[in-house]
Amino acid sequence: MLGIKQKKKVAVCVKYALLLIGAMFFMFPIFWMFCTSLKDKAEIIQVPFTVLPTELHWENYPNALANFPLVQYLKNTLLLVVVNVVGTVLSSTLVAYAFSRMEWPGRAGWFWLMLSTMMIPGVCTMIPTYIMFRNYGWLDTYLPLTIPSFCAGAGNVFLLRQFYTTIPDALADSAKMDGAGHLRIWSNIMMPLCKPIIAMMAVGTFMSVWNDFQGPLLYLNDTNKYTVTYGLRSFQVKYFGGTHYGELMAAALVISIPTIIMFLCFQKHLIKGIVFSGLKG
Amino acid sequence: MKTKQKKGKLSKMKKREAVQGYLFASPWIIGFFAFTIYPLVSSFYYSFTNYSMGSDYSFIGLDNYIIMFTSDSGFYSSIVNSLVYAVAMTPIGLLMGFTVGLLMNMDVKGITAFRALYYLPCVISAVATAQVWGFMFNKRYGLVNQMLAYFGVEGLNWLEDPVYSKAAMIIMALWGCGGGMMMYIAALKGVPDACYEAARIDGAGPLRRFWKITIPHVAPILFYNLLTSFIGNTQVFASAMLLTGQSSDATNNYYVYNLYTMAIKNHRMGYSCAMGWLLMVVVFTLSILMFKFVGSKIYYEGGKV
Repeated sequence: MLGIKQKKKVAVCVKYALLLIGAMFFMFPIFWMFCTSLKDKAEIIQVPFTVLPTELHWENYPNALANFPLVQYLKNTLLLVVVNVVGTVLSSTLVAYAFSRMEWPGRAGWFWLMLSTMMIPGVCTMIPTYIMFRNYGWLDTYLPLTIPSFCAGAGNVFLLRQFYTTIPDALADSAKMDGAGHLRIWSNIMMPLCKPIIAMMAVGTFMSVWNDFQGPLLYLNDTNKYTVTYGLRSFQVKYFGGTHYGELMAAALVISIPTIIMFLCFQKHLIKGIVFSGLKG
Repeated sequence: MKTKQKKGKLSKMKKREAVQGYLFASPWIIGFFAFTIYPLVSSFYYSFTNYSMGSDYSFIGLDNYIIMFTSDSGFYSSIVNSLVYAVAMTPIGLLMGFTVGLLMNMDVKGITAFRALYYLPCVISAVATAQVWGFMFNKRYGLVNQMLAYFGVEGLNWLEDPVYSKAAMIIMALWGCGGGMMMYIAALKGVPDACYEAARIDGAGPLRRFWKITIPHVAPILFYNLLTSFIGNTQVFASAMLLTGQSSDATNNYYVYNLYTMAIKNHRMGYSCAMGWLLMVVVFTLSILMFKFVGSKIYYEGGKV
């Protein structure tokens, strides 16, 4: 018979074993991406396969980037990121302020309407929105990928509103006494208090812009205007059927690194934010 | 006189506040009309026309909807494909997601590091994800088939076969199942300790405690996730395009993929809009039913966490 102490030890070992098995499943594709990115063509198509590369072929990285205008795509993506972050933060904080700290007729109705828009599947507005932007002559410009961010997404507004309602009235009231208007209170009191959540929203926006596939797919034709991720897609299409998997995996890994780093730096906040937006439904 | 003045002043302030309120909320209100209402209304209108790229169009009444149900076999196969995917993916995804939630809720050292690892696939773009999985599922050189060869199973066509391609898409989607972990952790932490204590005193073992206490407490959130992920899974698009996009139309003909190709490749905008509206009516009905049956309960559970 095992003593209580030993039983506990066994339980802990079982727990770690389970956690490690799971971790292997979630980490393996990334590990495989990395291993493949260092193999040469012959080794990649070799049967039976090798797990670790027999020789390190780092040249896959420069070779991949030689066929891939990384700098141009990086510039494009960063431009989109900056505009989207500014748009999202400004509009969401303003709208959340209106829905939490101001009294105006119809507020409850508009808020209900906003929450109910979250039920509309995005794909239902995909084609008519495309038609609309096409009629404006906005195709192949960045306007369809930036302008909507200035119109505050329901999820972000909901998240911010939760925060605003927890801020004590006394703060805003004393500012009001001093003659501050709503714009002042928004910019000088609310914004600084919400810095952590704004930072989190900015990181979230960065990731969604960086990883976006559908937007560039619909609106961008000119290869010079592609984002990094969408550029990777066209890179894949160009090489499909060939055996350039080494280069392909190298490129895929390189463009995944920024989001991985961002995530690791902000993971605590990001995962938390997802709880809120997950429960918003 | 005095009170009247005060009242006038108050209402003036109120008016000011009302105007300001609308001004502050205007980004969303404008966006609501420009990017939600207008597209929905215009697509409702287009759905009764033969609108295509550039050319003139005319009003054709219910023809799009009639053609859809009577003479478009691709339409039916796209519904079947999407439903098969959603019916298979939803329970598996829920089970995996909840299992991950249970694992991540364990009280061991370094659990936050594990949480980060399990969550990591969710921050990698769909494009890169599909590339690495596409390579692993490659018929000739892919790791999956080479491993299966050891067990005597050879040459499965993961990316083109109508059945195996769905399995491939499901496996790829499961890679991202850590995304729901925090929701489950919050739900699991919301189960009162007193319940477990009482059960323990009554002599209930861990398995019994799990079935009789944990499961009933998290059931509403599981049910909510079941329905929302089912709705989401019927709209599978990006992974179909990225992972199995090279296969034949019949294999890869999912509803939203069909809707997209109809509009962008075949230029049948009106028809595509009709498909979009049909989808929306179905999804909205499902959502409303869901909120009617479980909405209030979920909110209560959500409020507790």
